[in-house]
Amino acid sequence: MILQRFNLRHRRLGFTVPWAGWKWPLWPLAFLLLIAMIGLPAIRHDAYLFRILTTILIWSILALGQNVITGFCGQLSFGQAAFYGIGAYTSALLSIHFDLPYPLILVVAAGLAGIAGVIVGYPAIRIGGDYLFLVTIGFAEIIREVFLNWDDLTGGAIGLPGVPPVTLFGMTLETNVHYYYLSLACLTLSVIALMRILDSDVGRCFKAVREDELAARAAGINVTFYKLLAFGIGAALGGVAGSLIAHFLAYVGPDMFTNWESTIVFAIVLVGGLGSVPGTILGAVLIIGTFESIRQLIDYRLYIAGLLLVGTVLIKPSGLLGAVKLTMPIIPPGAEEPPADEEPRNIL
Amino acid sequence: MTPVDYLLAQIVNGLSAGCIYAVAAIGYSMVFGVLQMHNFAHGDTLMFGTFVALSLMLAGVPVVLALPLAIFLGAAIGYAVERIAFRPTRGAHRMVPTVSAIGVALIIRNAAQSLWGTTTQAFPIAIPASTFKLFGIGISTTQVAVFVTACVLMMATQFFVNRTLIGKAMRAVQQDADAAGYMGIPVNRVVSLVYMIGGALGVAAGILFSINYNTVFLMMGFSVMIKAFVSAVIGGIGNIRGAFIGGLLLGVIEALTAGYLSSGYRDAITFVVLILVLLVRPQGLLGRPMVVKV
Repeated sequence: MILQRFNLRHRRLGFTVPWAGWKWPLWPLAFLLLIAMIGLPAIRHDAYLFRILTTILIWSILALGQNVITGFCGQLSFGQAAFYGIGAYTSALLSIHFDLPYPLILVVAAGLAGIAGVIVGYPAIRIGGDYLFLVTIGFAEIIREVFLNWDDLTGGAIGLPGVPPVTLFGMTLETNVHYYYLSLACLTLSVIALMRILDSDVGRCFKAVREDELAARAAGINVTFYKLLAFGIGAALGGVAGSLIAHFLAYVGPDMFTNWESTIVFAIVLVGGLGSVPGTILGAVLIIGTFESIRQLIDYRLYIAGLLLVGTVLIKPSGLLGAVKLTMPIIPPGAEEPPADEEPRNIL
Repeated sequence: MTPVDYLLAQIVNGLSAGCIYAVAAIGYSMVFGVLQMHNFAHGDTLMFGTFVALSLMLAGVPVVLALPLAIFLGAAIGYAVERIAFRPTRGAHRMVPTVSAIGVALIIRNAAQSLWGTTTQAFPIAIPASTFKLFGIGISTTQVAVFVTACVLMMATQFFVNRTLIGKAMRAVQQDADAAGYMGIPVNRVVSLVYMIGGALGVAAGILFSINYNTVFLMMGFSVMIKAFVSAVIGGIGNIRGAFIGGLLLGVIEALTAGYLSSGYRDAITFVVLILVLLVRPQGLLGRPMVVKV
């Protein structure tokens, strides 16, 4: 029943050109950028450059996931590192212990992360806004402690060194350029899929839930379903990013999935633009590009991230390319006032 | 050691840790109460102030001077956080001040990292750590001192909020900031004051933490803040007594987990408790249910 309704509502998916819904100057630009990025390895042979670019691509996928949850659907999640970690460990363990084709591993990693996302998203139904923030921080901490303490499976604090390289179509990916292409392909597919989702009913329902949950519910939108869907999609993208980083670095360890990673992903989305796909990628280029290319800045990373967050929020709260209006107070003043016949809230 | 003694010892450990969370939670909860905004810079304010106390004492400033100075600095940071992160974003979407507070927290953390580095340091206060026996379990004087200080701070805050004129103004602002403004209460100054008290209580909690565990480190702010947050939610956020009880409960739960299950999963249990509380009784033990109206 649900599936049938889902199919009917989203019948439009796949019947139009892939770039439908993109604003005019955007899709030719994106297309040109993609061509340029495919051609880049023919011109430059700098392994370090491709290392940075691959890192940026992977973080873009991760941040897109965060943006689905926070930007598109308006849920204040701060645990993207958990999904990233679940994807990475799943992928690493599967490829160490079993001989499976990489696409399958990638799908399983994304799927498990997505399921974790739905599990975390479940409290989102009952707990709004700020508490959800805390629950997601908590979930990320729980997952990190599991990575750290489940020695038999995850290698504990040492992690899992020697994650085998990806084998795709009989070819073993070894160099940075190979992983650059793999990440570029994953990012391109994610972007196209997300733009299509945003242009469908699902995207509009996300928007309705974000803008006004009560009104959305009153209009007959299944708020619960769309919140869980946003968490599932966002977490699955995190899982894809995790799988890529595990094979790219040939290592996974609990230090890679801390609160700091969640903070950076959050900063990318905030600075780049809430609810904007190109904005997310711009944010990743700005932040990860700065961190990765200027190694001397390592002691000042927190300053940079902090100043970017404060500056963005004070100047343009929804980020550089943000599509979300954040000026409306969600709870209008006086909404929490107790009814007149009750005694006033004396809780301080 | 009999099982009962072991249990009692764990509970005592839990209470001494819990009263530290309680002090941090009171500050956190007051700040939340006044504008219904979460202050995510609370933890880093706390950590910075504790490091300042450490430096002052290492520089030879006597303890009776160093600790109040550090606490005063905590109030100053609390004020700065309010001015930078919260006042310009008042009335905006709730996500906006949350993010600016995270930004300020990162800046404070980086400043601390530049000044004191990332290594864990010992805290130079030595309360003569003698233990005495009570009902068969050893209790150290440090634990008693920490517990008594925490109780005094809680009662002082409670007195200040409930029995003084400024406290009355705070409660008025909390109930309805606009109406309080019409009545002539200087809302902005009251809000600043609450953030200052929050910062001061935070630093006090940080110092108690460092005395209890004899350690100061960069990430202590984050971990204590998360515990304070959870305590405040357990007790009913915005409620001073609730925050105190929540802190003690959390400390005991944590100590029992570490004592009987596994110390590695201590923080995980904290969050499991939190999630359960939020699902079963979102308003906390002493809070009142929040009603969302259109």
